Amino acid sequence: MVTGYWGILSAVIAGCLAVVICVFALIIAWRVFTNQINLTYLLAEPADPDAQAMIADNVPPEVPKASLSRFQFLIFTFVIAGVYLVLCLESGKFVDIPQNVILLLGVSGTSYAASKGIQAAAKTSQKHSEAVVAAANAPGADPVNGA
Amino acid sequence: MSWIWLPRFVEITVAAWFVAVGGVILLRMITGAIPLDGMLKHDRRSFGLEFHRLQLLAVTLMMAAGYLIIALGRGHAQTLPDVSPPFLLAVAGSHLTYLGNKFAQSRKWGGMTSW
Repeated sequence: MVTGYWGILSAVIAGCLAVVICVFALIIAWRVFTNQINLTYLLAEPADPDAQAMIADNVPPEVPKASLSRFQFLIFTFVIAGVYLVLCLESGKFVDIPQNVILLLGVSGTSYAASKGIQAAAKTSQKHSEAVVAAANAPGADPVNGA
Repeated sequence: MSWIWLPRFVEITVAAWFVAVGGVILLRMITGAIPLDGMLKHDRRSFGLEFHRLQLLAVTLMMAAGYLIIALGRGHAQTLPDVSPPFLLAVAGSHLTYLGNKFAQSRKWGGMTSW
């Protein structure tokens, strides 16, 4: 039971905040459902722009490959967030998260980041190798000193 | 004035949102709108699948299912179920195997300088 001026005011503000957050959630869910927020590449590694540029005009661009690290990150996120939500709804308060569960999410996230790092390093190295070869084959280049 | 319905309204909305978004993602994976093609390969053009990717997928699904069963089987609890160190080590080892293989294959195919 809310009584008094400040009690009513705080209850009204709490109600407005709750409605705003719920409307945000419903808008996002609706846009995901109607495909205005596109989930097609949720699990995909970004396509290589150089490879895409080399594809002929009449050939559809290659669909990026699904990423295993993204998939397992999604699974762990949904499982832990889902369990957390269920326990919070049951107990009516924020439940404690053990340290090892945070470590589990950390392992998953670190693996995802390391996977992206390996890919980026491979691409950078490939471009560097191509640039070195192109410089060596350029007219007037010194094949011994590389200049 | 009673606001007793407000927490219940937010709880139901959040739970419904979570289920709806999860359901849409699952449905789109099943129908192929979210492509899963090439998940078990380093290179889309290669044939077959790679064992280190298959083992990471299997370990991930087993651990996630096991955690879910433990968590929901405890009834009313005040904390998330803890994860034992061997469980954590198994997940970390699985990820290291995956990353090690990915690194080696990136050196082999991705144009990194040779060893």
